[in-house]
Amino acid sequence: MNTKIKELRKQHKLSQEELADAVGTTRQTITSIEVGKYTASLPLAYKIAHYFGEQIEDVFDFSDID
Amino acid sequence: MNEYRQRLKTQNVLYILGILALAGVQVLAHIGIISPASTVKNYADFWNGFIGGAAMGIMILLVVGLIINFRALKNDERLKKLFVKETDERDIMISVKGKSAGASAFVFTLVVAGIISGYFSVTVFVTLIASAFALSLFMCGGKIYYCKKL
Repeated sequence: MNTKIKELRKQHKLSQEELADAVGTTRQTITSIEVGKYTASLPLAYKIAHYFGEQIEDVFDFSDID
Repeated sequence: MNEYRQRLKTQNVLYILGILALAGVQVLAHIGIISPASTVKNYADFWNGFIGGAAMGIMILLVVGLIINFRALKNDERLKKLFVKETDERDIMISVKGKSAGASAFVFTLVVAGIISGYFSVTVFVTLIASAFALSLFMCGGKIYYCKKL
């Protein structure tokens, strides 16, 4: 699944480690989500979107599901 | 985080009990109170050595776990890191998928090995096939349990 996490991180000048700490996950998980190897669960997707002040559908691309 | 802290404390108590029980087993095996009933020469020594080694290995793992838990309980930063490491959803998924794939591969290997061994020994064949059957049964049990639970 494509996401805008990397762009949002750059905008907020955050490292993967910092984002992982903020949402209670590991850096490896953030990396996997960013490269599309792993699809975040709904709670984690919510935490990430909420952290950036965005809606889930604005951060995660659900067009594949449609 | 308090709930997790409490869980680690409970885990520590269980680890300590485990270490004491294993130390007891080692002592009993060493002085010969628990010894295998076998007429085969040197078998008791071999078995006591195996039990002693296995108990020592598990004890070392428990001691390492105890040290990790104690250090985490004394330091909030370490506690958070340990919590994240244990509850990370991707790590959990990797673990579940790895175990599931490993168990399936193991059953397949047991069946193949059992069939090959059947050409040489009935005892080995029955043991391997029975193990494969038992493991499959446990896997089915797990599936039924989680089908009802989730």
